Amino acid sequence: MDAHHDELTENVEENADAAAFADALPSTYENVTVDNPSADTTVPVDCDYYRRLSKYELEQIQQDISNTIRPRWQSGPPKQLGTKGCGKSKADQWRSSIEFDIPVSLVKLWSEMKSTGESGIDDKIIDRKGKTLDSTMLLHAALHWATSYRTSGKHAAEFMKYMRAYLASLRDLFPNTDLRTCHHNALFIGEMLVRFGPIHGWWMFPFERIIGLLQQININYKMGMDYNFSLDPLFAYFSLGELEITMLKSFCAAANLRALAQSHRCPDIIRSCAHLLDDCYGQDQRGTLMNNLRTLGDFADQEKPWDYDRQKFDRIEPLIHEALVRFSQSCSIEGWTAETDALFHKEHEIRGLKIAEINAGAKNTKGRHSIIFFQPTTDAELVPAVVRKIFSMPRQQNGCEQEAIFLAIHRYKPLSDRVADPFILYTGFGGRLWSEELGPVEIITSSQKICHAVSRPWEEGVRVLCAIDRVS
Amino acid sequence: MAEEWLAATSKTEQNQIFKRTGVRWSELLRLTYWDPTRSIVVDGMHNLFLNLVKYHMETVVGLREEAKAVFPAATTEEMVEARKVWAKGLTRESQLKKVKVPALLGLCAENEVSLPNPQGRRLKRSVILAALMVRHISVLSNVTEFSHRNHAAKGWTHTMMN
Repeated sequence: MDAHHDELTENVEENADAAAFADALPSTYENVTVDNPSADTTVPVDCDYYRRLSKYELEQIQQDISNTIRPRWQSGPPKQLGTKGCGKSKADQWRSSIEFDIPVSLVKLWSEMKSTGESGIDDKIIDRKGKTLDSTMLLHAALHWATSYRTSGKHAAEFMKYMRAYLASLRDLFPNTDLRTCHHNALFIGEMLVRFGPIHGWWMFPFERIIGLLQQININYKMGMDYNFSLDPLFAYFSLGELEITMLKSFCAAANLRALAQSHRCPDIIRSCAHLLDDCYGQDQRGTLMNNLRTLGDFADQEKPWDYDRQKFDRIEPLIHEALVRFSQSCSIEGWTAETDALFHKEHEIRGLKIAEINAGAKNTKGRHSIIFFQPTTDAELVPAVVRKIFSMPRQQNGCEQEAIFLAIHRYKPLSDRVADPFILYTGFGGRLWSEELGPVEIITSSQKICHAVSRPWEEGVRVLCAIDRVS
Repeated sequence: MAEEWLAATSKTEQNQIFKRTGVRWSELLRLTYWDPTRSIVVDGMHNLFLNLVKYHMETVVGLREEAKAVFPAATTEEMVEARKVWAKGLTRESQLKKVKVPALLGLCAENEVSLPNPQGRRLKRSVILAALMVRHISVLSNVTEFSHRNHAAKGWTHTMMN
């Protein structure tokens, strides 16, 4: 665990629960009869005055956002973040901005400031910015524990620890500002993580998407009122019309059909068509429990025999083949030998994650799925790499030929000593600086832990890379 | 309280009640066994991302466009000039005539002068000036010389002196 975070969290009482922060809530909710005007009429100026980012800082952040390379499924924060022009950000956008964009930008902006060593009032501002950054990191850590695909007593406890520390840091930064009710509510999420399982099973993303879907339906500006009903005062009150009933009916029918396809009593003819349904409508499962199940899924899929065509195989580049031979010597895989031909994939899905080779894709999509983090050995730290090739080879196991997937990758080299890494303070953040230089070709298998990465140039020859590790 | 909200005859009235109590009517309240303080699940998406993160970004980090009510930050040159004037010692407000409002606010911040809460409006220049004068005079512990020169500033300068 990381030292700086521990330091930040240790001061907060472990046993403090939601009630501990209740006194920080606006008093208007506690006592209804007393109309309490804002408790203090004077606000220390430095709170208000330095609350806002300067124009320069805002521009830097916007520039950083457009320089960021992220996987296609992550919707980045709006390019004009912070201006009125960007409109209202969506939940997904807030999510990616706290996961990577803003913490990294702030570290970059404000670590530069420290090094200039100004004095007087500027010290105060720097101190305040440092505290704001710490608090951002605490929020990041809390969210990381809350939004993981797995949950456990430990996840809940860690979430609560960081959330308490975060709220304490808010109280420290803005002693005169009341906490909001949402801060109070957040303290209940720990308990719910234990009771209801991973947050993905019960958060509102899928529901919001259905609402979005319903709003997009073209109804020609007609409210679906059925006139026969509307004569009846009771039905007029509900104003539920033909259109709504049709929609509700087909929604229920679709849900029933899905349930039927999963049940044991399902007729074979329907079961054989079920995959069509999945192919057509199974795509949009972002942020749902289904998505998690796939990502966490065991390797049941891979137990199937692999039907392949040797005509489609290509020769492996000598450089990669050398690496493959080295790999086969270092760890032997049952029923597999390092052959000279393999089936290459431009893009391949491994446990719900699309991994692409670095040269695949058009101008805008190139490389977005090629920067990955992987676990070299069990329990080792994740390291970043670029995917050069993805290929499959046959492998004899349990009496049938199965597909074995390999990735040829180049690791990013660790940073040389001459550049200081400001992220060292926040190891819980999951992002660090890496040299842009690449190491020699290595081979990894698809059974190793792999996740996508977000990256952004830091300075000449240095990148900041952050794993999007939702599984731990 | 929720019944009060339900019984309200207009939207404005409902909004007022909500503002005061934070409670609205919900149809679920008709279920006798339903206790809103115990039967609620806090939604992860709304609570964490749309509230916490949004609040953090907009208020704590300050990631938003400058609203009309707030002055832009003073430039370094402006602050250098303003500090010079301040260091000379203030006796009259007119000494600060050439200092622009952002720099005046900067001076207030540097010298820990508290200002009244503008409540969404822009602070008046005269109010800031008066506050700065009060501060300067209290530094010199020459309180008697000070007179309430500004009507708008009267109420709070008085409390400050106490």
